[in-house]
Amino acid sequence: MSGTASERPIRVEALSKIYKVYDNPADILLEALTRRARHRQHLALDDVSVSIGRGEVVGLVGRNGAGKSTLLKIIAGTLSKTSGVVEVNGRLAAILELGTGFHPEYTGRENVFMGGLCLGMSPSEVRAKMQSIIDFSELGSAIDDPFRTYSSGMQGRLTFSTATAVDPDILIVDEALAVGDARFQMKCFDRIRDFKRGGKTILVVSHDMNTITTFCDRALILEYGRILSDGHPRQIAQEYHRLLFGRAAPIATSAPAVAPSAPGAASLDASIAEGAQRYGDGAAAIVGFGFVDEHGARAEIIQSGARCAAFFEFRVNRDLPDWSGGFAVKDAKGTVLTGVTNKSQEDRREPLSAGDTVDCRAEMTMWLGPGDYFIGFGLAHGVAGEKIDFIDNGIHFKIMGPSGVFTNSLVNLDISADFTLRPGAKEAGDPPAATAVSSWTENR
Amino acid sequence: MASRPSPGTVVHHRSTGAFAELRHICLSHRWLIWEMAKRDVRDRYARQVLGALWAVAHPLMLMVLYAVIFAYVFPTRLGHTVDLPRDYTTFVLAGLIPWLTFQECLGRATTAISSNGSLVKQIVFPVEVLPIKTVLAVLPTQIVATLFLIAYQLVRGLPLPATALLLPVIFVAQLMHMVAAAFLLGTIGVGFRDVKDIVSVFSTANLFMMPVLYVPGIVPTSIEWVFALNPFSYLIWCYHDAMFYGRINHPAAWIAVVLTAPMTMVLAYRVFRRLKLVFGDLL
Repeated sequence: MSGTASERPIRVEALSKIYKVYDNPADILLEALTRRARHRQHLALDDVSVSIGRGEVVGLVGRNGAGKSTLLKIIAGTLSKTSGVVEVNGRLAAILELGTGFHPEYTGRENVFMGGLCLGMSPSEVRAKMQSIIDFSELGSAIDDPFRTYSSGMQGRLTFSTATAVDPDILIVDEALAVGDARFQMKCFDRIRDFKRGGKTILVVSHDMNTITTFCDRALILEYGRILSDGHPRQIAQEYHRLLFGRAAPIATSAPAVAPSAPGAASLDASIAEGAQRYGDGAAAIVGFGFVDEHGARAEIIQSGARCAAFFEFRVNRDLPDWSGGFAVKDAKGTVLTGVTNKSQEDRREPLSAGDTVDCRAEMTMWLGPGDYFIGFGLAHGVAGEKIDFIDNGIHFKIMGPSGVFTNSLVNLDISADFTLRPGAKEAGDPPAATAVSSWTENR
Repeated sequence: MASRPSPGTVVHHRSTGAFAELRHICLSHRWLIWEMAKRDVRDRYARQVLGALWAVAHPLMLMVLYAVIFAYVFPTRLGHTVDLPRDYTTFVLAGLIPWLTFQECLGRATTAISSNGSLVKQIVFPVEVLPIKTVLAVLPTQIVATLFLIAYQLVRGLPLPATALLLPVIFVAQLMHMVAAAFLLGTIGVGFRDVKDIVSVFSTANLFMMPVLYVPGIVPTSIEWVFALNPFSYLIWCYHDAMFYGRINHPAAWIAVVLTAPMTMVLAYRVFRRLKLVFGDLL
């Protein structure tokens, strides 16, 4: 039975899952007895087919309720399927929820022990790995405290350490990577990289596009229980972003890749980001704006370090003797990270007359770290006086990468590090550095 | 390639023989079952001064209590004849001990799975382990009580009957029946939690529907057919044969209990196996 043609670690075919929702536990019994349906149906997975090969790291993205967790749980074997085929070949470890299966009253150590047994290890195996699990989790002496006293970060760390210690062939991770501080996340990612190198198969659900693009070889979007797309993580990240933030009106309106030479640009209503705010006295009106990459294509996701440009165009309704206008880049918390106006730049304050149209364009190299950012556009009387037309957070975009640095980096310093090995001279007694120090001490 | 799934392997859609599968689960998860049973016993007496010592003390005190009651409070002249070779206390305890264990097993099995929702739902956990460890965790009662009964014989100066050697046979059969009951009740308990109280009431009533307390020979005939219909009676008869009569008085009971044991267990496991994937939906 086992040696069938498809020895792929995970093979899912035409999988569907319908949840039966009962209002009352008695309905289950009544339904079984009377054979009359007493439930509502909820289609969580609808004809999902996916096959994952050895050594593949696959990211699964999708909105809340798209069916991601259901899919993982069915693959992990903790949920039943309604129809379809699920094949899993190999030892599987899953981190489906925080502190999964851990008993709150037991100490961390006891929980690791039981957790290891649950995953199929023998007591001696668990004991042998106990110290390395505890070390990895960095719980220190807290390991002998009851599990319920742990913070969620500590619980997550212990869960991750235990689940990955069994050396599974297949690892399923449901958003558990978001636990712990940034440094612990790095450690988790390191371990996942080791897994990847070891030819293990990994299926990760994450809301963090950066995780997906950095660690996965492939990504899937799940939407309304169906696989919407399956492809390269970067392409999927873009598509998912569009799915989340795109509006009902097609985005094409702003796509015209409006170089300044070709104004007319984005029709305002269509490209304005969700959550944007617009206000001002209307002495002039912004009639189009956008954010594009170096090829002039609409940039929703941009690689850190890439060239890009923000632009807007406004039409003057009343004469403006003194005005300022420009851009501000903000992070998700609303902190202004940088900005530029006609005044900060070159003090252009030539008066404008009603009927004039002005194109503003800001070219930049994206030196920010990964994350979500917003660009706002604005016009004011004088130097940041009475607002004429402001569009706060008009554009929402994401930055990916850069690779090779902390994933929580705030900025991109185009950093690279060199690690040169200087093999220790076995014959010589003291390493050179120590000699230098001692000689310096002597000189004093 | 690996034809035998490793312990953590999730096997979907492979219909191996249920018996082989059950054996494999018991073997590959023996440590987990053992540890969980140990913890089950320990947790029952958590935060008590004597702790797990109660697992021994409780059945022991109960047995002493019964011995005193049947010897002094309700003294029944019985036995030491060819037909009824031992005293009433021996007769009652021989039948009562397996029933006490079985009853405890039934009660605990109803919540074995439903009270472990987090294990069932959240991780790749071998759910089969839960009913099995529940059975294991009620065994201290029977072992302690049986040792007491043996000691009681020796103190009374009665040599153990040769049929006591059959105890392991009937014990293993009982174990299989308990595993079967635990699989079934655990499964039912997931979707229909009321089963806990139904079983509790049944257990109390059932004591009077079995040949445990009734003095043999003076049992009203009206109740004899109740005994015959009660599957638990057959188990009790076997224990009576082994510990009280010292001869096979009920050959039909032995055949019924021992032969059906593996079958019931496998059947119950199959029901469980069919339904276990639904647990996640219901818990």
